[in-house]
Amino acid sequence: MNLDRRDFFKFVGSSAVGLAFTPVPWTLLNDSSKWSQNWSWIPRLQKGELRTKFTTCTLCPAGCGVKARCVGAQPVGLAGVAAHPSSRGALCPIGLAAHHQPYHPSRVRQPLWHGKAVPMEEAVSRVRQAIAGAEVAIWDPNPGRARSAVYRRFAAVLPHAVYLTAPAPEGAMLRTLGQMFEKPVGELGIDLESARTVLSFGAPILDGWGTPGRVLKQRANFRLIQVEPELSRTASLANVWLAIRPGAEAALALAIGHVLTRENLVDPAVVRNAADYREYLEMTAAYQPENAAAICGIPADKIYETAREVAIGGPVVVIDEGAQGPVAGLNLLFGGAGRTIVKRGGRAPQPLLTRKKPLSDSVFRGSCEKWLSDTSFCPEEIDNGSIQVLIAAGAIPWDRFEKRLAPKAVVVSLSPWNDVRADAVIPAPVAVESTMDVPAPFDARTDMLSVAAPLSEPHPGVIDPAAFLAKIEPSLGTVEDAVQARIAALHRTRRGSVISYADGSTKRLSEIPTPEDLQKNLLAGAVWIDDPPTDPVFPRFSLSANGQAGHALSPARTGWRAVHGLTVSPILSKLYQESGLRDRREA
Amino acid sequence: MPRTQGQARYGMVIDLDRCTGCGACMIACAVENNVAPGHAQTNQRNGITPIRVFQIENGETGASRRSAFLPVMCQQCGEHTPCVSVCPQQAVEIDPATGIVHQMPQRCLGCRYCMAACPYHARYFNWWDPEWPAGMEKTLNPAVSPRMRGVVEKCNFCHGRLHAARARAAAAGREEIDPADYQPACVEACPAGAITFGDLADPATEAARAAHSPDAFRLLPRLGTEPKIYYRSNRPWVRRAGEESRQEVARG
Amino acid sequence: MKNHRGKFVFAAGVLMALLAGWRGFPLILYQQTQQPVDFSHVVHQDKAGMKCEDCHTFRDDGTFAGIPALEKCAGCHAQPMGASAAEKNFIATYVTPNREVPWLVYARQPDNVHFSHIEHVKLGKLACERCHGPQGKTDKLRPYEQDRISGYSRDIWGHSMSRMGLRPGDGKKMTDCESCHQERGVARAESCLACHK
Repeated sequence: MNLDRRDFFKFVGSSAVGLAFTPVPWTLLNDSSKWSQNWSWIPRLQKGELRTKFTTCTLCPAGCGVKARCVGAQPVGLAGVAAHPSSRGALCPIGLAAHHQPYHPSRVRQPLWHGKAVPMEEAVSRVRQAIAGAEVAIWDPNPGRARSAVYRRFAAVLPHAVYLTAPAPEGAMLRTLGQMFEKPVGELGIDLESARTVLSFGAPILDGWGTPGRVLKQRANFRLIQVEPELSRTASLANVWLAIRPGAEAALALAIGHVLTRENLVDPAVVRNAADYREYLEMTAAYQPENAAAICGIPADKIYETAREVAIGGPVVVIDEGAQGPVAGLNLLFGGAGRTIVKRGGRAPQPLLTRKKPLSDSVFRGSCEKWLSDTSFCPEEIDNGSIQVLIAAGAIPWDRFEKRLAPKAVVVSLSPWNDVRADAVIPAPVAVESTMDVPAPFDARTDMLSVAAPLSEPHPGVIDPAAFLAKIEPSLGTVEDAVQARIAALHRTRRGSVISYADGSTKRLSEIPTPEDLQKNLLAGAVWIDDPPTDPVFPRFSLSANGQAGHALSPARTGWRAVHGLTVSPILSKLYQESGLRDRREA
Repeated sequence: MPRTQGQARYGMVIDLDRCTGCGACMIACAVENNVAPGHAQTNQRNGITPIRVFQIENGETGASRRSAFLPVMCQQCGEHTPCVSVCPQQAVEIDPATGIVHQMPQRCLGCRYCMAACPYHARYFNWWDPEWPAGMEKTLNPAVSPRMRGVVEKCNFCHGRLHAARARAAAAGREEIDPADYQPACVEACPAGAITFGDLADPATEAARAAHSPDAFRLLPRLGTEPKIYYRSNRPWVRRAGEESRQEVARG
Repeated sequence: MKNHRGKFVFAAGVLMALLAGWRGFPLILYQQTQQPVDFSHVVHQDKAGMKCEDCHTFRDDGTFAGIPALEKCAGCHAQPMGASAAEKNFIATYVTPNREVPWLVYARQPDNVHFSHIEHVKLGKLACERCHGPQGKTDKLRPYEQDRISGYSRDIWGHSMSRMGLRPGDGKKMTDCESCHQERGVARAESCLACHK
């Protein structure tokens, strides 16, 4: 038969009609929509068993308990641990996204020398070459940890090396206070739970001070008086805001002292214990509130009101961001010694941090002692231009080191994050990839210790800073050994209790048979807290000591303020870019 | 009167005297709900923050100036939800069993009519496909599916956690969930414990009791949306702030 | 005489289309693949005396293990339990190198679907066979027919291209869930986010 074009078109058309009565168009529609859901760049959800792992956050010194929800081995969400005695279930915005850090786009995944990737062996040999015969400084931004002993050991083993660190700035006031007593009192802590008034001179009490969870849990129990020049968050949330002129804090403190002493608001026991009460009276003579008002910018009647209310309002703790003597001394005047300011630990008093003495990592003493270098310095105590090689176990505060570096100094950063000013960057594991012992934060009532277990496997290209140093100096030993030694020394004390994160159960340390058991307990998510001191009574003190100013900003700040020295998850854009809640310039 | 079984009215009471504006709730929400980090072009108008904390002030100056922080998420309006009534796709509806206003991004066609209708500006549009840095998609929460560009999303009271609570209850042979098993991420994360979550229809819950206290208030009550998010504060100026819209506050 | 050629051509076109659409199309749309391991449910049921829930377990929190991870199989099969080549192959390819078996899941749903096995099994009292067919009684796993375009199994659309006369459990699209829910009057799934995530 002859088929022509018309037939062809008829055939095609009828096929199309017929096709409409087949599943073809309908399944194609359905399937192409499903196809569009499965393109390769669309993220897939993981399937797997949900597990809960417990650890401790190491992004800042507060050391909050962490409950991690994991799919298999991968953490997918973090929350606080209600059973933790100080963090009380809280995690700050930075800690809540800690599990993102392994994948941060700025993460360095292989050693860099002058910005170019080099194999690990080459990096090791270059650093070894640089160190040979040079003046070396090793900078530890997080002192008081087991790995600090390894760094100290490194400084002790090299012929011309010094271990540099800086005490946490928030602890400055307690250190100042400690020096006001006639006899050494050891480490001091803050019993916030006993305080009914908190008189804060510029400290961000409600915005990342101390262990944030602890402060917020106690908030309803104390009246907060914030003395600050500007309306900070804490000031706007405080019960009372005293808008002081900057720099006039000491004057206000002395004015308050004036009111207390002249109006018989000082406990007789305090008067008895103050060795220089008469000198203090003389010192405060000129600081009548009427005079002080002109200096502080706070009306005299407000000063009277504050001093009187605080004196009769129950236990007080005075917190000074600046660690000035007169302000810190108010704690003693208000009778805080032994009530809101407490001694930590029941052992013999430990020497405080001074220039020539080692840090009081007291639980260490047993097996690390022979490796503890006698000297630890702050960068400011090093001569200008004298550091030829700087090895930094973390972020480098360039403003503190610039002048100390010799002209052709080699700077090595052992850190997960890039630093373009450093000569070498050796990639370190991020917080959730590391095992790290966490000592008590500066505000803790008693001594504490937890050991953060890693939540993730470290990226294959990274190396623990201590392990890198061990490649150069094999006699150093490992961080694992140092942590074990610390736990063993702790176990020997037989003091205190271990609180487990998973269920809040408490065991006396003496009930834990071996150091290995203690280590297992701690790594599973637990914190050791010390018993109250066996000798809580404080010796006599001087009110008119000058105290020491806190050092310049060091990276180890707590809570939200830790963001200053950290590379945080990109999700923090919710706070400072996608909303107006935080100002990026804070960070 | 005990509520009918299976008819919960989940709501919250947020204590503005406790909120310190830390933003932990915002981050916990983003982590729980697989909200991607902002990129170079995201800003306060086009970012995605299912819960967002605002700072409000008492309007005074100098030493009398005070501020407070106001976390705002979908207010879970009552029967007369503006968004449900305008959606052409029925992509949002009130769940009769829980009272939660469910936003279904999978049904949404992205007309954003609901965003215009919502008086609380609690709805967010995915202007871009979500993008995570390489490898970070491994940290996605498997209980919540990510959304593509072109759809609206909002707070759903962490439906992934409700699913988990239901599964737990079913494992024990129960139809009703144990309230302790169901807590949205923001509630769990708040370091100050400022958010109380619970069934407002059950008078025995803390949330229901707090919602009926004299210093509790809701946002824009004159609109008749009957939201299930209550706020409370001892401070009269904070309570009054709930009655004004942001434009009114800005005008002073 | 009237020329009926046009009608003939028309009818031919329709017929060809119908044939291609109903018979030919499924053949090219679905790609047949075998499961990576020749697993026999019957052997495990009879010889090992196992029930569904021994491997397809519900965890304490109510989540469903689905197809078991290698760990479960390796628990018994660290050494060969029988004499079959399939088992030897399995041990060599997966158990020894500790590789997860890339099972092809017939009932795999998109990521935005939340199907809670425990609610259906424990509260809904559904038998596994109701949705998964008599899997437990098979000696060989049936081939996985993958839709080349969507990537999902043919089980989702169902084996009837017209979607008419589907056996219960054959077809796992949303309409299939809906019709079963309607039949049984289940009030629990009244809202979208009850089953979606």
